This record gives sequence, structure tokens and C-alpha cells, in this order.
Amino acid sequence: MSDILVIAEHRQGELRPVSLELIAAAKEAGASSVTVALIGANAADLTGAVSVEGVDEIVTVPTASANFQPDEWKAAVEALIAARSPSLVMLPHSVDSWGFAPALGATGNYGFATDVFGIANEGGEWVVTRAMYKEKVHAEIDFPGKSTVVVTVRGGTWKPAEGSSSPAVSSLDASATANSSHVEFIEPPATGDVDITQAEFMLSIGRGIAEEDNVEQFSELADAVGATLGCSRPIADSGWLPKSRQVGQSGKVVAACKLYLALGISGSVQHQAGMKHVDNIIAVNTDPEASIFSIARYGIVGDIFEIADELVTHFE
Amino acid sequence: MAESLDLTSLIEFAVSQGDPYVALALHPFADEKSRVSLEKIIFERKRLKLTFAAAPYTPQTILALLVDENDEQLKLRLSKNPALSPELLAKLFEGASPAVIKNIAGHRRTPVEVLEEIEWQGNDVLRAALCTNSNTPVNLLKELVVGSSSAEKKGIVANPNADCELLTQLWNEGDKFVQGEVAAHMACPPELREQALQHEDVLVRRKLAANETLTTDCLLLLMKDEDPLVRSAAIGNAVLEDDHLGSADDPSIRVRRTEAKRQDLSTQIVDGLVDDEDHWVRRWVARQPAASDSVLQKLSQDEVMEVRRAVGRNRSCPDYILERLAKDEDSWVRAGVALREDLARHILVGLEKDDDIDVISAVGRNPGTSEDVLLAIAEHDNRDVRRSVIVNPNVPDEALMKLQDDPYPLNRAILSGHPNCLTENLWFLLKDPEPQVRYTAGKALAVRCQATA
Amino acid sequence: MKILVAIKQVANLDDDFEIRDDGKDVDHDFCDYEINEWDDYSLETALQIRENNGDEGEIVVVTVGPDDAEDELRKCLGKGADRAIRVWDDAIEGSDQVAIARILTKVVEKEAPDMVFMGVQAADNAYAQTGVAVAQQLGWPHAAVVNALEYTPGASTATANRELEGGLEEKITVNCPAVMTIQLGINEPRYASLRGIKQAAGKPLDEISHSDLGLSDDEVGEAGSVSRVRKVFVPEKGQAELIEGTPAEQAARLAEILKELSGA
Ligand SMILES: Cc1cc2nc3c(=O)[nH]c(=O)nc-3n(C[C@H](O)[C@H](O)[C@H](O)COP(=O)(O)OP(=O)(O)OC[C@H]3O[C@@H](n4cnc5c(N)ncnc54)[C@H](O)[C@@H]3O)c2cc1C
Repeated sequence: MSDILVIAEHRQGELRPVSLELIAAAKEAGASSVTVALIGANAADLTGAVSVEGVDEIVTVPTASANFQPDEWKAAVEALIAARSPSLVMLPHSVDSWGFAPALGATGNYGFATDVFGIANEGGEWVVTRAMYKEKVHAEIDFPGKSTVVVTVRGGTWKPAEGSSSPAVSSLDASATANSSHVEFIEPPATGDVDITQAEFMLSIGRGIAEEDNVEQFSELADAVGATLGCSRPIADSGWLPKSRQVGQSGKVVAACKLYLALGISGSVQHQAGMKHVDNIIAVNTDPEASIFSIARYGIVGDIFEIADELVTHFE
Repeated sequence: MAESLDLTSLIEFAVSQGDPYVALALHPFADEKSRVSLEKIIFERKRLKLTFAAAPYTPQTILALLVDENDEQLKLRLSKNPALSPELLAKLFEGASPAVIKNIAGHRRTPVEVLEEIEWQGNDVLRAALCTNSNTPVNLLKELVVGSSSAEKKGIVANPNADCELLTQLWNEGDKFVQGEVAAHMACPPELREQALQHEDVLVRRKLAANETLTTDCLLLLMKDEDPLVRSAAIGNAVLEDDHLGSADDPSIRVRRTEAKRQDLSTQIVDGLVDDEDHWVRRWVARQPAASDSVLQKLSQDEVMEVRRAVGRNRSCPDYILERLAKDEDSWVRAGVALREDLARHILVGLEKDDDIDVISAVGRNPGTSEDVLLAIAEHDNRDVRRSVIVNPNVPDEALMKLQDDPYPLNRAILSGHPNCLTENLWFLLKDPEPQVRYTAGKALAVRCQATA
Repeated sequence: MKILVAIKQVANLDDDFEIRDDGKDVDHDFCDYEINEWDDYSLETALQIRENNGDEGEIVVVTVGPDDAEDELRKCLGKGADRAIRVWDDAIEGSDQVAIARILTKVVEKEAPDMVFMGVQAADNAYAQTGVAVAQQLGWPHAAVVNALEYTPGASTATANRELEGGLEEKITVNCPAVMTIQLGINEPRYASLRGIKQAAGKPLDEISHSDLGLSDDEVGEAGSVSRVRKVFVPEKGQAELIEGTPAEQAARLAEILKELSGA
């Protein structure tokens, strides 16, 4: 039996798209049935959003809080596991999951692994793949003796499930004492600067530009080629470009982007979180081993300054 | 512990500390007997061997010992170490594995005899490495070019050893990018220069125009090119003399910028560019040594901050302008003035009271700054400001004594590597928590011991 | 007031390395070690709380790791922590994060601090797991990915901001004592003064084993884990189409591609 339970994630009343990726992953992992759980006071409102192809059942777990609360979510997942005995439980490898999934693992009752991007079933046993040593090595992990395995799954690995289905919907109760409470969401400060989430063509710079003085050259280049300038986190952290220009997990997802030119960016997982989905990624980096090349469509192993000098001559 | 300049006590100290980084620094200076005790410390752990095999700062005496070890992982790291000497590369080559040979073939210091011995036939990886190695001699290049791929030709053409004959062959067989590189090559034969001059592709003409072995006549033709990129490359060419310059009327800002970037413009040409609408042009004009007082006066009131800064950095800028720039509303302009070693004392005094960190850092480097101000800067709250005094030729000993204890490792690293560093500081830094600081201090002390012996 | 900060020594793997004979890990000869970047921030958080508390209170740093990890503890002592604890013995080898959390939990129970800080994740393997796992085993309140914190020692609640995706933050209140995982950028970590480092040599550093903490052999190592590394391998690299040629040529091709794809 390989019943899979997918824990959907939502925020501010909206389903987070990664939830649909998990449904697709569950199907691909060969689930005999896929149950999607919606946890939260008003989560039942999202039933329609998760009724996509491949979903057999939806279980809502109404909790006291409308927003994510780790104690309530942990209790909810435990109740779901008790009620459905899934062999695999999938959660997104997201900030909210970091806040409660490890607590499930730490009960000792389930197999547990985080940031998983490969899932296989070998003779009834789950074997997952994750990275180690700053992505230089991959590891296969198994869970001897565990009948239920809980994993957090890396976003952007599977294409989101689409289509529609009419799954059975039921509800389950779970009670918990919340040890923390939501006060408010704080939106990132709106700046007068451009909105990179709307840009179709991005030119992003990373630590490869080496010095603040060099920002100017690349902002001229972006201007010349007609791109919006973005950056990796170290550049924004140093105050060389406004925070609103940062692409990545703690920055922006460049949702509208069709063409992404990454100059001197190594391609960390967190940076990829904001741009990996872009169809045409082009990377320039002196290091042929840089992970940005593994997601790029075109690559240049070379010096960004040399390339920039030449490139600008083609845009007058 | 003697805080003196005596190599024997220095080595004794290193051995008693058992610190591999200090031992590494002293090894080349030690006699044979002491070397043995240092080597025990340096080679104590496999991890250190691997680290030192890869590190560009490792002395040749230690690299030589590592080359003799029979360990593939060590050899791999050695073959990538940019500091490995030609002799050691030759030694490493004997019996090397394919992966090591590949690195040797691409290594910038591999001697010609070794490159010639590499059996590259039928091996694309080695072939590519040899094509791009700037040490590869012309006879070998000529063998490599036979049946070479387009990518390989591009490696060969960038090689400074290529001669007329080879360049001609590359020109005939290559695409416009190869031809562009041929045109830019110092050894480009006259016939090809002629052809490049008439070439239909801008790239080739542009590359030719950047060739610093061109004749003035040829450059003058290129300066009339219809394409601004070509004119720009020509006007930036150092071969051109002043009486051929003067592009103030060129419609392309690229051309005017390039001209303004030249640092040898005559007063007359500078005068022509001073009113340019492009602030990049004015920025460069403001840096011209030949700029007259009236030009500098005008640009010192430019609306663009970087232009005013450039005036303040101009060596010919007179005091009365500097006085005003020292009070500029923009701190980056004031910092530029404070950086001038020739700054009149009365102007510097005003800047000593500035509270902008860029200005204070510049004051910290200025040899004219008073001692008590330097001492105060050495204790500034901002860690990046404090280290500015290290490079000041008049830094008081007391400031250096303070900085040897600086919590910011970078400041101690800079101190250990600077000639101003006191011998007393160096002894202190031998016990620094940062390995790189201890290494640098050890090496500096050994050099000083040798000089006094 | 007492704050406990758990730290980890992380590995930096060389570009050229070998996998161990049993295939389950890399050969550690090919690693350099340093303190996990996040831990600088969590220690700084503790130090600042103490400074704002009139310099009153004790800060204890703890790590689970072999001999070499002592270096990192000493650095923390050099920055101002008062005491260090290192837990290690052969049986701990092969522990996953749940087993490591079990060990840390015992240390926390023994020390009974008012607050526990840990990094969001470790730079090498990025499990993002240990802090919340410890909280679970303690039965303590917790908050993950904290990038701003208001906490007065002795108070029954703290206010924290969690850094969510997309620049959004969530302000929450958490009951105390609690375990918090601290995010980069929450403060500006200090460097240890040399005087501090010298003093650190005289500060207490306890070395203990799992049994000193009352844990049995099957509560640590592989037996105490809920996951097991079956094998490690070097991943295949994705394949970008490489643009070759002279820089001028590469740039020319790039310009074509950009013009085509941006519809310019
Ligand atoms: C919770 C969390 C959230 C995060 N959020 C984000 C985020 O939103 N966005 C983000 O970007 N990061 C984020 N990070 C940080 C991330 O982990 C990396 O540290 C960061 O992305 C690295 O930025 P980089 O690629 O610019 O720098 P590096 O990793 O230092 O890479 C620089 C690259 O430049 C290359 N290079 C150097 N010189 C040249 C040259 N002359 N020519 C060509 N190439 C050159 C180098 O080979 C190298 O590959 C986050 C981390 C965490 C833990």
C-alpha cells in the first residue's frame, strides 16, 4: 500500500502554489491514493483550489487559528496519520514547515527527512534523495522499520498538478494547545522602486561583481539591454541595491519573468527559489561547477566584466 | 621569548608552539636540521597536506616535498596550484595520471619542454588545454592548428607566441571572431592589417583599431570609420599623438568618453570637451593632468557629484578649489580631497573634524594628519575606518599597538602584511587566532631576521 | 537569567574529494571546518539580550561534535559566552538530527535555561530541523526563522518576527521559555577580541558522553535515528548549452539570444 497524504500550505487565505507541486510529486511517486489535508480555521474554503487531477480525497482539519500555528498543525497531522495511516506524508520544504514538521520527526514515531527532491518506492520501502555538503553530494535516505515516513519536499522540483477532480471531502477534529499566537503579517516595505515581480526580462547580479563601484556598470548594461536589474541576497544585504531588487526565497519571486540573465551568481537553493521557474535562464560565471549552470538553458563560462564590456557594444 | 630579530629564537618559538602555519612560513628560511622539526609540524595531519598542496602561499620548499609524495589527491591539488614552480611542474609530470596531466597542460607555469612532451594527439581535453596555454611555443601551436576545431583556433589565436605565419593561417581558416583576434594581435602581418582595415565586419575593424602596434596613418583612417565603435577603439589607442585627437564634435558619446579617458590630452583638447553634455565625459576631463585652472574651476561646480570628486582627485587642482571642495555637501567629494597626500595642512585640519566614515578613512591614510587624530581613528567604532591608519607612513607606534588587538580579523591581517607593522606587533601576531595572520607575521619576521643578519 | 545557544561545526567540502569506502559519507580528510554562519547570529542574539539586561545572566554554548568542534566553542567563549559543553563519543557517530536533538534536549533539561537559541539551519546539510525537534522533545514553545526578537529575561512571553517567503514577515507572540531558530541578518555578529579569546582559554568547557546525560546506546547513533543514509553519490550536473568562443563571440551570441528572447 502506498497511500500518500499531502499537507497543503496556505497563507492569507490563499493556497500556496507549492501544494500543487506536492500533489504532482505524490502521483509520480506511485501513490495508490492521494489525500490532501487542509488545516486551519477557514481552510475548507480552499477545497476547490486543491481539487486538481490526481486527488482522491480531501480532509479538512478545522483549527482554532486561521493562520499557521505550529502546535495546531502538528496535532492535525498526527490526527490525520492516525486516521488514515498513510505510508508517506509530504509537506513543502517551506518556512512554515520548518516551524513544525521537525516536531513530527522528533516524536520518533515516523521516518523523517527534509528538503527532499527525489522520492522512490523500492519494494514497499520509501527511499528519498536530498543534498549534502552544500549540494556537492547527494544522499539516498531510507527509514528502516518505519511504517509512516514524513518528508518535506523541495519546491520547484515538480510541475504543479493541473486539471480538476471531484474528490470526497470530509472533516477531522484535532485539538491542541497553542503556545504561540499570530499577531500580524508585515508586508515588505513598498519602495518607490520598480516591481521586479512584474518584469519580463531580468538581469541579476551577485557577489561576482566584487565591489560596490561595479554596480554602476551593470545597471548601465541592464538599461542598455532593456532588462530590469535584480540581485542576490548578499548584494542587497550590503546595501548596494535596494532590498526590493532581491530575487529568491527571502526576496521576490520573479513571477512574470521569461528571460533571466544571472551574472556572477552561484545559484544557491534560496536564490533559485525566486527564479528557477523561468523558461530561459542564462548564466555567466567563471566557475564551470557553479550550480546556476544546472538550471540554465544557456551558459557562458567566463568573466562577467569582459562579457559585459562586449555585450554593451551590441545595444546602442 | 626574545622579541628580537633572531632567526634561531624565532624557529625555536615556532617549534615550541607546534603551529603548522608559522612553521610553514619559516621553513624556507631554516637550516636543514630545523627544517626537519618544522616538517613534523607541517605534515602532521593529512588534511594540512591537502590544504598546503592547494594553497598559493605555500613555499616552494614545502611544495617540493609534497611533489615527492605518492598520493593522487595531493598531486591533483599541486597541479592546480598556480604557484607551483616550473621545475616542480616538470617533476610532477613524471608518471602523472591523465587528470594531473590535464591540469599541467593548462598550467601557466609549465615549462615548454614539458608542454612539448605531452601526448595530446587524439585527446581533445589535452588539445584544448594546450591551445589556451600562453606558454605553448609557436612550433607546437603550429602542430595543434592542423585540423583544429573552431573553438581551438580561438584558443590559439589568443596566444602571444603566435607568429605571422600562424596568424595568416588562422585568418584564412577562421571566422570573423578569429580574424578579429588576429587583427588585434601584436604580430599581425601588414597584409592582414590592410585586409582588416577594409573588412566589412565592424568587429574586425574595431579589434584592429585597438592594436597598439598600428601605424598612425592606419589609425587615422580608422578614426574616420562610419562606425562609432571603431572610432572609439581608435581614439583610445595609445599610439595616437595629441595632434590627432579632438573628437568633441563626434556625435557618439562612446567616442567622446573614450577620448576623455586618455590621460594625455592637451589643454586645448580638454577645453573642447569640458562642456560635454555627458557627465561621464566631464568626469574623465576633470581628471586630466592638463586641465587648466579655469576648467577645474568650472567642473568643481558641476551638478554631478562624481565630476566634482574627480576635480578633487586631480593632481593639478589648486588649493583655492580644494578649499571649497573640502566643504562640499557630498561626503564622497570631501573624502576625495582628504585622500590627497599633498593637501595643505589648513585644509586637512578642517577635514579632521568630519564625521563621515569615508572622509575619516581618507584622513586616516593621510600622512599630514596629526598624531592625536590618527590615534583616535585607530580606536574608531567603525571597524573599516580603524584600519585606514595602518597604511599611513606617519602612523604612531601607539596606534599600531592598539590595532594588533583589533577584534576585526581583517584589520590584523592587513597589519601583519604591511611594512609599517612593528617587529613587536609581528611577535604578538604570531599567536593570532587566524592562521593566515600567523603565517604572514611569521614570514615577515623571518624576512626581517634575514635582512639584519 | 540563563540562555543556552546550540552551535554546529559545519564542513566545507573541497572540489576534489573522495567518498568513504562504505559509501555512506565523504572522506572527512577533504573537509575544512568552521562554525555554522547562523550560529554567529544566535550567539549574538543571546549576548545582546544579556547586555540589555544590565550584563546580568549566564550564556552557555553547547555542541554535539568531535574533538575539532572545541575550536568553535572556544570562539564563542571568546565572544562572551560563559561556559561550554561538548557532547561526543563513538556511539553518537551516525546520529541523524532526531538523535542529535535528543542529546541536546538532555543538555537543556540539565541546564534549565530561560531560552534556547539555535540557527535556522546549518550551512553544510541544511536540514533546518534540529531546533524545532529539540523544542518538541522538551515540550517547549518554539518559533522558527526568527529575524527580529523582543524579549526581556523573566517575561512570560516574547514577541518575534518570522521571516516568511517573499519578504513577508509574521509577528507572533511565544510563551517562554522557548526554543527559537535564528535567521541571518537579525543582528550584526561581533568578532571576538583577542583579550576575549585569551580569557576564553580559562573558561570552563565540559566534555561529556551520551551516557553522562542518561541516554542509552540505542537512543543515539543509527539506533536512535528515524532515517539512515544508505549511500552518497556525486550528482550529475544539469546541462546548460555552453556558449563557446572568444569573449567577443560569446557576447555577440548572447546579444542575439537576448534580443530574440526578449522580443526586442
Ligand atoms: C533562509 C534563507 C533565505 C535566503 N534568501 C535568499 C534570497 O532570497 N536570495 C538570494 O539570492 N539568496 C538568499 N539566501 C542566501 C543564499 O544562501 C546564498 O548565500 C546567496 O544566494 C549567494 O549569493 P551569490 O550567488 O551572489 O554569491 P556567491 O555564492 O558567493 O556566488 C558568487 C559567484 O560569482 C562567481 N564569480 C566571481 N567572480 C566572477 C567574475 N568575475 N565573473 C563571473 N563570475 C564570477 C563565482 O564563481 C560564484 O559562483 C538565503 C539564505 C537563507 C538561509
